[in-house]
Amino acid sequence: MLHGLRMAKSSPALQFKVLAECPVTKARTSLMTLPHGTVETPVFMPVGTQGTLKGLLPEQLEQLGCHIMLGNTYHLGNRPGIELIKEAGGLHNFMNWNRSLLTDSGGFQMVSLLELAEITEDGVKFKSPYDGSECMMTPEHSIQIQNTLGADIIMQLDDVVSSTTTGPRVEEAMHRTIRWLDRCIAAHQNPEKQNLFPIVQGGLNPELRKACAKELIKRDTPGFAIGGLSGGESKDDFWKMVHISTDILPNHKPRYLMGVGFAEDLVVCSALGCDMYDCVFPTRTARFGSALTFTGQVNLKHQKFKNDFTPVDPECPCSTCKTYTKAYIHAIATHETMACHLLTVHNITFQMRLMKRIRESIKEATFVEFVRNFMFGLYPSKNYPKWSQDALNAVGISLL
Amino acid sequence: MRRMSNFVLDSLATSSSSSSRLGRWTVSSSGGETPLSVPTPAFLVHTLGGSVPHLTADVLLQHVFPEQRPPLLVSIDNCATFVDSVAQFGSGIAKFAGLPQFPVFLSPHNPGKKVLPSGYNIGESVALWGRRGKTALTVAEHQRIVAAFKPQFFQTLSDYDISSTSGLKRMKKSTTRTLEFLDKTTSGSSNGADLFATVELGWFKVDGEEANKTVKAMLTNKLDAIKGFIISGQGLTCAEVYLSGSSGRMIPEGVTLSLSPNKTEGQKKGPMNNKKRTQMDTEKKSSLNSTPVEDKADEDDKSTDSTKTSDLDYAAISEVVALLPAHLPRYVPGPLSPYEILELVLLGVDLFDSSWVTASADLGHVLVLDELTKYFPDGHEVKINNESLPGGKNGDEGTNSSNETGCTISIKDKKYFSDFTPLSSSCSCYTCRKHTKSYLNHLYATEELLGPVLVMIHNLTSFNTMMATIRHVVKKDAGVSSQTESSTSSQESLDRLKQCLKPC
Repeated sequence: MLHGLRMAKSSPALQFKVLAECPVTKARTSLMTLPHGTVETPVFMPVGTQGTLKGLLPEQLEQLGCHIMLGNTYHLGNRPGIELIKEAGGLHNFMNWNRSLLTDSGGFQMVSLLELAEITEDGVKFKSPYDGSECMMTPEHSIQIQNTLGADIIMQLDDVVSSTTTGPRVEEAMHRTIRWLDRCIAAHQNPEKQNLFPIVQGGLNPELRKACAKELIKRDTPGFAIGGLSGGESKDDFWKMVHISTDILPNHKPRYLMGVGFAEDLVVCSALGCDMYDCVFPTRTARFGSALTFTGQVNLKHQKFKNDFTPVDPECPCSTCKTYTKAYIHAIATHETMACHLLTVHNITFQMRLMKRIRESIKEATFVEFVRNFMFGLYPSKNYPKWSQDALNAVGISLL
Repeated sequence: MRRMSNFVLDSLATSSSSSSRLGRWTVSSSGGETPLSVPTPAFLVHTLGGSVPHLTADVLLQHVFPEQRPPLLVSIDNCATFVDSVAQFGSGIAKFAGLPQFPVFLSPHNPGKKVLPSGYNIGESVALWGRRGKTALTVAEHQRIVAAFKPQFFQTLSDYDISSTSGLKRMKKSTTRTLEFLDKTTSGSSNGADLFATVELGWFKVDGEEANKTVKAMLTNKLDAIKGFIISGQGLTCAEVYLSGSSGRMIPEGVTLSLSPNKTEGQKKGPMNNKKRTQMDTEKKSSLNSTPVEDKADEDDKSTDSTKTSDLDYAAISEVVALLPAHLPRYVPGPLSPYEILELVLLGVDLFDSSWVTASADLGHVLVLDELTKYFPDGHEVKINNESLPGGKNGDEGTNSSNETGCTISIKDKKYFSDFTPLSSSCSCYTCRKHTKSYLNHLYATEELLGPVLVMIHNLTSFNTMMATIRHVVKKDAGVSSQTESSTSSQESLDRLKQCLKPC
């Protein structure tokens, strides 16, 4: 009862309007209106860790059709530090990005720095990698920092365990994540301007995932995230955990699948009902000389591109594909920063195009067809990975 | 057949104190459109691998040169790994590098490189020091590259291995071989490009008489083929960079600019996403080291670091200029500071390049021309527009809050950590309209790729402003300025300009 009442409350800083739902799968396309503008979902959010997206001008990012990007609380809290960003009037102002922002809690970095970190009920104690000083990140502290950063969407501090961990530690982390959520909600100072998202944890254990999701949705938060995945677990486990979570998370709120950014994963997980994604992959792989296309990844460092005077993707509208050939990118790949910029522009454009195709096919009720064609483009000999076949089968898509 | 260039002098300075001159360099573009007219003194836009460092074509065209199409300086050494691709491409380096709108000046060596190792110019070739070590460049190979790259201008090969410490025998070798190179080059196909002959400044430091004879030989035998001169030399490629220390302390004179930032900035390792950058720097550095001459090259570097200060030998350059015919443009390559450029303009040099800007962006050095634009608002359009600038606080009157003098600041300096003013209050470039010193300071502290992008946009814009102002003052100096209402004398203007560009 109580739960029903809470659900009815609208979120002052987030409106989520489902425009169309796929009649077959769980996919939907929606408008998510945030304080800094409206975002069409399913959406991929590029990661601008330190308050900048890998060499791109904010203006370029806007031109590429990006409406929301990420900042990392952990990194920004270290450098330049929260006091400075406060003085600058928030992260939007500091980096001069006027569209929407999402900040993480800093929790994920703990997994990557675990040898330095100690997790207690109070929070996470870790050593600053910059000056060695001891820091304590509590749920309250994380929210306080994120309130100062001022992103449109902020994340609860969660107890992240590696996705391959098993045993009682996973259950402990799941319960602690819920306790920490309540502390985060209590500490949140700007619910009218910023949206706090809880995170479904529970490792690869279906029962823990379900229990966690059911507990979280009792709190009337504006949206939900699915965390603790995409960290080296098997794809078989991965999609099942996503599927279980989206079954429980309410339809009228956005679902954010954290750390996912491969094209195939984005398509499959959109079919499973996810709305938002983030990943460093498209920008990181660009810096390694790799371009994303609808037929897979192209490593431009390869000798075979030495005299290939065609663009990376002749159909891509980005400035890189309009101006530069594979041969030129090959010529300067990995030793001129220019090559990183060129591929970053292209790869972000690719992500934006992919998400747009997903959204439009849902609107046109051709999503199932889109998924089939997309998968066929990626696997022309139909050697589809078993996991994606299984996942798509689970929501009613059989591949060509 | 591509059109060649034409250099017309507008005026010669009449002032007794200066040999400065204004010119107009008509240049056909790679695209074969209407010829472009470049007012001189001017700078060529320094490139690496055919691109303006850190700037993609769309950013360069939108934010740095929306209308102007200055010639790009492309150097063979940093394109050496893909010469064959350009040849097969068939439409020249500018188009290959995504900049077909720009004319190209092709030089053998990157002028931003400090010192080329000694002892490797042998036989019929000169040593070229690229990313993958040394290659021997013969005239025939050079001509093949010119044919493939399709520049509008190219620099002839020279035996650059000559400095004030060279012996007479080496000197003789250098002059003889350089004349031979010129001879061979002019007897081959010009590939439709204009030839700039190389004069080594080192010759004049070893044996003035022999040096004189060499230049005269060029003029006597090859004047028809020569469309311009390059005064180059090992001593030229060290520029002064003055920067202020964190406590307002000035780095003493003699700080030289190194193009390997990992050397000057130490081996500070950033977080993981900077591995790549460091790797790039290492690669840049190893362009000298990846050869059997590793130790030697390093020693050379060291000795120049400590002994070679920034002292450009103005007297020697002046001596060379005096030998050159007035109707041809003179280009002095290298990372010259704004002040050095001004001094050389006064000696009668017409062309420079922006390798100083490239180096500055890597080091986080920012050209601030607030003083200059205060005095010379007509040098360019003054348009201060900070409305979209974040941060709110707009500083004390928008001017530099510090007591810095001179025209460069180091954005890495801690004092900019919380400075929410633009890099320059008088600049209207994209960077100054959109971002604060504080943000730039953060980008450099975190070694983010956007830092050098924004500083390149600003520094190239400012370099352009500086050049325009220099032309303005030269014009006044030459007495061809139409602005008779101007209250200041040309000498006063010049003094002010010098003051504005003076290193601290």
